[in-house]
Amino acid sequence: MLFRRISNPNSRKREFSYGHTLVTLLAVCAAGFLLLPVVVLVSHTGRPELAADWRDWGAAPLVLSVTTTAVAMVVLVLAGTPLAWRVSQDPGGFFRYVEYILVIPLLMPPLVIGLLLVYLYGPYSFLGHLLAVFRLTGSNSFFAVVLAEVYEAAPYYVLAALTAFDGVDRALVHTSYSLGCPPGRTFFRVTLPLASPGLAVALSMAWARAIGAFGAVIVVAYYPHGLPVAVWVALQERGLGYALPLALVLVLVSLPLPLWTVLWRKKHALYPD
Amino acid sequence: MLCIRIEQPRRCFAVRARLEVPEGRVYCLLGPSGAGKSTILSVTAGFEPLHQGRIALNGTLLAESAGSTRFHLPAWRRRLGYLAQSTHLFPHLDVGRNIAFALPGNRLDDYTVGLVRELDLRDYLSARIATLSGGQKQRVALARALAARPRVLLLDEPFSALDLPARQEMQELLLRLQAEYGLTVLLVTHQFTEAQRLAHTIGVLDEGVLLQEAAPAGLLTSPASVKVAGLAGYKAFLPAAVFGLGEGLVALHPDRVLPGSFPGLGPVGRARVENCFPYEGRWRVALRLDQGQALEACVSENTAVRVGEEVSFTLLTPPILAG
Repeated sequence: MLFRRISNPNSRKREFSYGHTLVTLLAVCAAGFLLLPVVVLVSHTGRPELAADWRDWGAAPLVLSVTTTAVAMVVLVLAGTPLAWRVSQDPGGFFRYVEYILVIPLLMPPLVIGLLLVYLYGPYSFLGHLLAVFRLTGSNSFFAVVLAEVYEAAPYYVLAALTAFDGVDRALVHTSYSLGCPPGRTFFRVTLPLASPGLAVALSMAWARAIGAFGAVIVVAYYPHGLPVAVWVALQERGLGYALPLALVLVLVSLPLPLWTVLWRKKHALYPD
Repeated sequence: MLCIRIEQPRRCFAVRARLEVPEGRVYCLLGPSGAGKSTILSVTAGFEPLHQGRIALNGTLLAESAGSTRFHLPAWRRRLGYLAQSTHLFPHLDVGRNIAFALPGNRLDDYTVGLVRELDLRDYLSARIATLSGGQKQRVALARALAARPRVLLLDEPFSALDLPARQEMQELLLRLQAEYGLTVLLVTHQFTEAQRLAHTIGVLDEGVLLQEAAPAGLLTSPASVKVAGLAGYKAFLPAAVFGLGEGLVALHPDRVLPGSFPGLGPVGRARVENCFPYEGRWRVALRLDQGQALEACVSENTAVRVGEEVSFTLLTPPILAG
């Protein structure tokens, strides 16, 4: 759209605008930049290599990635949502500092996160011994993958959820109180429904981060292989041609939740145009 | 009876007031923006803790803070309805669900159905909030607040965002409902006309201090100070000596300055017409005395007034205030 509609909205005439043109060109560049790698991924994925990967790997990495990420999301929703809500309710108190602390895991390289998790939850650590009592191990296990995914995705979920809770008008909560609705019921009847579009975005961001988690996961759990580790192993052992089909599967598996979130947000917009 | 004794620090001053709202009456807190009116309402509603003082309703303590005694009944247990300028309707619920929010099972009962009929909302029950006009939103918010059967209705400038006809319609509606259901109302506004129309008692608040408490008519005829008179619509304050009324200042309200000479009604003077302009559906003339002071008077459309001519005017029992 290099031409901007002139002031009369019913008019079909458009006038040329340099500013509008520049913005449009920049937007096209950004969209192209984001799309081109996807085009390359799709166009360079060969059917024979895909079949070979299927023969070699089977559905195991796919199943592991989806199940570990699903468990990680359940953990995040159950633990991260209360944390985000508590932080949003405590503007001057202790929990506000948690918001600043959450930025640190965001800044840490995933590889370092993996090393720290092994140090904390590995079989030779205190917590590792404690986990062993429950027949869990923080290294090379389903639990270890979930642990790494939760840690990598938690800041994304909690910070986005916090923004969603902060966006709920405090006056609406007060109004609910004045109507005799106590805090617990107000949370489920007012706060949660109003924050849910933001929480859905938080969940899809966390999902995308967790299912593609590689750096921390490869340190704490080289085995069993999830999809991101399988991509790495295929690249190392057989080359790019065999790594790309696995990457395409990873993208296709990751896509439905974020896509559903976008559609759901549009459908449930509180203030439609 | 709602009894409020409050001392609440704000950024620039502390709100210190003591007021009583009798059962079934409308008490209006009138004051300029930032006078501390909404603070009193917010603390009474239980949205913020009371710093110092006591709030009780019909003998039941709502909040108390004095020395080591601290008591705060949570907002959801006070049963005080709250309605503000922004209606704060729940945008994710339709009109019916908003109104039934406080009701068991979220279903309209007979009382609420009557309210809905009274407020002319029957056709909107399934409408989304975003599709309503400002006046309709206020009616929904009022219905929702009343559906919870509050012991007192707290109104924080509820109609100030509405246009004049919608505001007047809402005022009449509130008056009717108040009389019909015997509502106890604590209203906050900065518009004297609104306070005059709705309130049984007006408390004038400025910088956290209650300057005067009176019935609307009393406030208009006997304002206690220049500040109160200004809030009651008095436009000019001239030395009483100008009209031979002794010491102090004469407060002049445009509605209480009559064109023409009627010595039986009050002091008479002469002034030159400087301007004539329409104002809130009527005509106003700007007058200037020989001594240079300016005043305004309301005139009817049929009054023949020419700019530049000298006219007589009569002051209707003007209040005389300390200078």
